[in-house]
Amino acid sequence: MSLRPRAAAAIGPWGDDLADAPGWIDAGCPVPDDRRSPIDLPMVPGFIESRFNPLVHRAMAACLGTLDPASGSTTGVVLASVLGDTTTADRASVAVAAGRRPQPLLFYQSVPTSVLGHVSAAYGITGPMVCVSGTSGLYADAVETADLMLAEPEVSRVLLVYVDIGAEQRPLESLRQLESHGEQPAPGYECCVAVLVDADGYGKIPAPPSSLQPPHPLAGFLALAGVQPDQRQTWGVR
Amino acid sequence: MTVEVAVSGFGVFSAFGSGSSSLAGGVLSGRHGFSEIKRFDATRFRARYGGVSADAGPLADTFVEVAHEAVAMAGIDQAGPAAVLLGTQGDWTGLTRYWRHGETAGLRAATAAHHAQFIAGELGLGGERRRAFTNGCVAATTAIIQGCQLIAAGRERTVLAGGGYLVDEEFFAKFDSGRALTTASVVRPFSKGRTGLLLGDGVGVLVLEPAAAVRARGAEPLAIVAGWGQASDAYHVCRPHPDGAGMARAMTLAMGRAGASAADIDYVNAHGTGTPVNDPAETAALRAVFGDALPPVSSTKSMTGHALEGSGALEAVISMLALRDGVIPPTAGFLEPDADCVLDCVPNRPRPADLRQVMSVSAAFGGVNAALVLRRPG
Repeated sequence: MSLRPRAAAAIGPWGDDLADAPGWIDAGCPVPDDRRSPIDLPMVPGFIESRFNPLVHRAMAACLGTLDPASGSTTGVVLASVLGDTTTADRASVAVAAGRRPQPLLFYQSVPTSVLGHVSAAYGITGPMVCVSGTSGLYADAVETADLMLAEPEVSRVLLVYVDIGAEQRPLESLRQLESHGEQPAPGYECCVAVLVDADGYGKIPAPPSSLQPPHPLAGFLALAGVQPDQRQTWGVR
Repeated sequence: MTVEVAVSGFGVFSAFGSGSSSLAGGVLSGRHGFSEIKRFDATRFRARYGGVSADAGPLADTFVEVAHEAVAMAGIDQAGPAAVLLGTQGDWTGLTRYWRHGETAGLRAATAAHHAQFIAGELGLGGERRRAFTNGCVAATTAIIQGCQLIAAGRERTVLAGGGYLVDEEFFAKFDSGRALTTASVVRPFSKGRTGLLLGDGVGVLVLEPAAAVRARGAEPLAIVAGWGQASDAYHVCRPHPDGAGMARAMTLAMGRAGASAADIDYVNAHGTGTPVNDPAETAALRAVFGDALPPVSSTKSMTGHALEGSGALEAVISMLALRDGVIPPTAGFLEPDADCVLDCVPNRPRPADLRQVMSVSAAFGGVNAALVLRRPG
């Protein structure tokens, strides 16, 4: 791996302590009935309804809190998500379908860069911020995006964030549609992993081919965060 | 050794319909493409206008059509490996149909990353990289930048990069609710009396290759992507930094990579949304970067509308058409100067010019900014 983790945070069915993730994996990756992480997430000011933005905010803040405040100008962000903020998308879409006006805050909340704007303002991040999506191999997509970012002389570290909520009826249907076409895109339960990385021998080790990727993005990001499960074959839980 | 990245082909769909000829016929003559929206029932919204082409099919089909045009222009072997990188949120008409009629068939195309896979499959492209960028209105520019990075790093020989958006009820409703849309039938960027943006169709795909590879097969690059830059404001969830700090840094980085001074940039295709807050911030950024050497600046969104995730690709194509034809597209709809937007915005009429190097600027919610420097080959 050409990226060296410096700090990590993860929120998912195991809770919000990364140290609990291996135990969750050893237990067979149990998923709560509501497919949400068992923690309260305070809303981010200016954002409503969806847990997407609170998840991103909390995981990013946990990593950026370790950063020297003067480092913001040389820090980039890569936000990876298969389906994005499905709650916000669906709240607005339900209103549109019913002939109602969507809540005005959903206007900017529907774009994932908005929450990055909130976090970057708090931590002085002025490097590049990229949001990437893929229906297979998203982990490789995100890692390579960070890798390319680190090759730019103005970037010294990148905060990689993976988030999917996908816990409601419509996103689960979207995942079924994707799977019916042979893609294995996302877990289907709420999870967010943030890993602050810098370059370690950049350019010496190429990005791994997608055929060697873990079964879905969460496994890859947890591995990048330092979690090395022995039961990787169980990760395909839906 | 630095690899020079060339654009060897491009395809485009816009408010003016299919192809670069129709786009050039509109924007290089100063004609806007706005009309009352008939694609969906817009009568219940505050705004009713947009840059909407009657010829638009589904987004996935439009992406394929545009990619075909780009590949044909480049004259490359479709069976060879190529990355496909697109700025898109997906086709959200599938969400509307799901919630209105219970249809599930459109949910795959509503997924952002579907479209890169779909293009590759329809064109029979080899290779593995199929990515969507969802970072709002810089997404297509991000795709182009990553395409350049991949070629410069020697990881790809051919990249199809761009993005797309077709005006839909979902985003129209949200922008209308957020009062970002003007209720007028035109957009007036950098002008006194501007009242907001209009959405517009915009799908564009560029074929990126090492310039040496293009020349080796006896072709000539259409443009060189000489520089790129990306930077953030660290300011607000949806307002740009009032000093245009991130935008200025993105421009400076792009010029630095291109080895270009302020005097070397002959024209800037601005983000220029026509909203009260964007245009003064962008003017401040341009003033900070260029000082007294500020070249002509125009907003072609005044003619195409704002194509959101597709806007960076659409405006890169317009910038190349300007380079090719030696014409600076104007800022249409301009009424009179605004004291907060003092620049030569090429008001209302196109201007002949010997363009050698131009810049295209994009910005998104969250203070995310990107810039490209495109150079005429030779």
